[in-house]
Amino acid sequence: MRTIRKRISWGFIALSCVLVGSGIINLAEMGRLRSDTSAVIDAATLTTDYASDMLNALQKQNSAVLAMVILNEPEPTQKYHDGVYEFNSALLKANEAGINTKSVGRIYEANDNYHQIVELHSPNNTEIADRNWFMTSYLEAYYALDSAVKHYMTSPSTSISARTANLEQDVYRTITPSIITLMVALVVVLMLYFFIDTYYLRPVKRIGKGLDNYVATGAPYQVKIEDKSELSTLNNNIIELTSRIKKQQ
Amino acid sequence: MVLLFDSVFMLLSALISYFNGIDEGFAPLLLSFIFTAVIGGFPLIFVGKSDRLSSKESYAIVIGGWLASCIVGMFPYLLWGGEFSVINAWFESVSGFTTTGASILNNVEALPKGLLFWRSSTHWIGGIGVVMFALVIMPMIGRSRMVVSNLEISSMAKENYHYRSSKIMRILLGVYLGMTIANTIALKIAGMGWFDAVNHALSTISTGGFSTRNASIGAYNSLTIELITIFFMFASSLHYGIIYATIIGGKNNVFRTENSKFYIKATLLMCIIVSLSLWANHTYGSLGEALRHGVFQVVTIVSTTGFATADTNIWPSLAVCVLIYLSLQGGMAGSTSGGLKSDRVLVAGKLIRARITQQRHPNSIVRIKSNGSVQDASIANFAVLYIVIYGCIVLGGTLINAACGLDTTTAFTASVASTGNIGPGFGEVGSMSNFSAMPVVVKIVCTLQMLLGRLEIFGLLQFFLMKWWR
Repeated sequence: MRTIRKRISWGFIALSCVLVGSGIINLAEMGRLRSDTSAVIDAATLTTDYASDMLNALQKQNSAVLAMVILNEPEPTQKYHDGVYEFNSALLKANEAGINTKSVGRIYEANDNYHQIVELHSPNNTEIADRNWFMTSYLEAYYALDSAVKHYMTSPSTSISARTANLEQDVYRTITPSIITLMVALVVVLMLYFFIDTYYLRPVKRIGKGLDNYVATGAPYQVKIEDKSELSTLNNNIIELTSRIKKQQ
Repeated sequence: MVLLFDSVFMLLSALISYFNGIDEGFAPLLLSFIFTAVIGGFPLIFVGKSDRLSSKESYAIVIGGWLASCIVGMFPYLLWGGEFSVINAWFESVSGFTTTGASILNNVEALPKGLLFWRSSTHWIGGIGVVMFALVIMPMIGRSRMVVSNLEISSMAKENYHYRSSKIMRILLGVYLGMTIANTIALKIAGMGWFDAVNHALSTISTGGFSTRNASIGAYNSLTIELITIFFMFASSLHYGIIYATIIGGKNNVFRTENSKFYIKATLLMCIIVSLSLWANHTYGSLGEALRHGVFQVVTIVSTTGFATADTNIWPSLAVCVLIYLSLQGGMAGSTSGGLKSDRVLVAGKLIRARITQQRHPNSIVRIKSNGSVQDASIANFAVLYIVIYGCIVLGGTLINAACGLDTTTAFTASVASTGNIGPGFGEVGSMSNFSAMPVVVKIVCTLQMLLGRLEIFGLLQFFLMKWWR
């Protein structure tokens, strides 16, 4: 015989399974959301840092070249070479990070072109680093490199667009289980209410009504409880009791 | 119990996702399994085994089980997200369980493997449910018992009176399982991977039509695979009792039963007409190619499976009209196919002939025979009634679709394809298209038509009539 307590316990266990299962899945999805969000933030932070380093180094190189032109010297000062070293270091790190490799490739091309233009003024070359050279060949190469670095800094939004789309999915998958869990839990609670009412409360009412009739009018007690539980045992005992009372009378 | 059965397949699908590297389908399927198992198993805590159920209650449980399956079938799609809004998830779930095979997905291959398996599973579960419903539950209903049982059980009717329901169920399950396994092995031998072979077998035997590829069977570009699929699609559209009789060497086998002979001849004739039409209009380079695609599309439509190897939108008018007729006719009664059923078409044709004969000889008594035995007039009348109601449902769906802005071809064929549980129609819902662009109202109407078609119209209508419950 399945006792009432056992059945109701199983009912609550079933409800708990729904809530716990959903909770675990939600936690897992939130973990995924957190890691994807971190990846997006990290990617954005890194690109900003590297681009900032490159722009500072480029500024150093530009200052050194400008000084070379104004002071009419054959080649740029040590400051230029420091700037080149810093720029190349930042560029290497950006390349190794693997974020937006297309933009990094463009920076490499622009950087090579920039150095070619500047190094034409080494003692072996013939072009004179005068104001005219500065305003035409040099500035063109400088702006191209500067633009490439800024494009790298801003365009991570395109390279992480896939990750941002993932974020939307992650948010959806974090919220949706909660909503569906609420609905399922509501269904389970309603089912629990229905079954308790149909299989326990109504039979108890029928037993009570039958006993009321028996006590008030002496009508025979004829309640039937088909479900095999404590209630059917109680009902059978009441039937036995009333029949014994009737025999004694 | 139905929901528990569904939950088992959800768990299987979750395991597939798990072994595929815990892909994105794992969590949705696992959670769906928990939900479905709890909802399905909950009543068992309280309802005892010895509780007697009336035929109405049994019937309500079956229909309710169908509807509940469609609802819980949405869970994996909703939890996964992607292209699945609430309406899309409902559409995909209903299309799966009713073995229609129409999809809202633009990119099937983007789904995780677990979800792909779940899609195919809904077909397989729905397919066996259909056969069980038609051959075991429907005959339990009062007045329509004789009528339905004679139509649905067909050539198995005589033998069936000697079988108990439990034996019928064992036969059905045996044939269904056996064909699924055979189809899987055949497709694997033909060159498909195990995963694709299992999924396509589940979809073929249930005459559903969900594929794991965007281009359906055409993606494999393999004549062997197409021939295997043609064979099993056709076999699945035959009466299961006839298949069983054929296997055990019984009298009412596929070659001797009038209904099956009619069905086979009609299908062959249509294959020839379509193939010749394709060849004559130079749709394909050679007669061989025309035969290949013509036969495949004819069989896939008449069996109401819905796989595709070609874009039928560009086919000549005659071929398209033949396919539309076959969409309406469908397969044999007692199979997993949809449509009007060829048995009813045969009975209606005989009734027309009898009427013509009676007009020529007013005093004669003309009886309709099937397999040599005289059929009750009510059977023929019921068949015609069913055809008329079916036509009304198709017409109603067409009008609603047209009111939502669809062109005539799309509106009509979407309605036919949904009611007949085929899947693809023509126009914007052609063999190489999907239902993703359809308005919400059209999707809802199509799902209603799918359920009406799968539950043999009266089945679902009675469920919602208050009078029937009194």
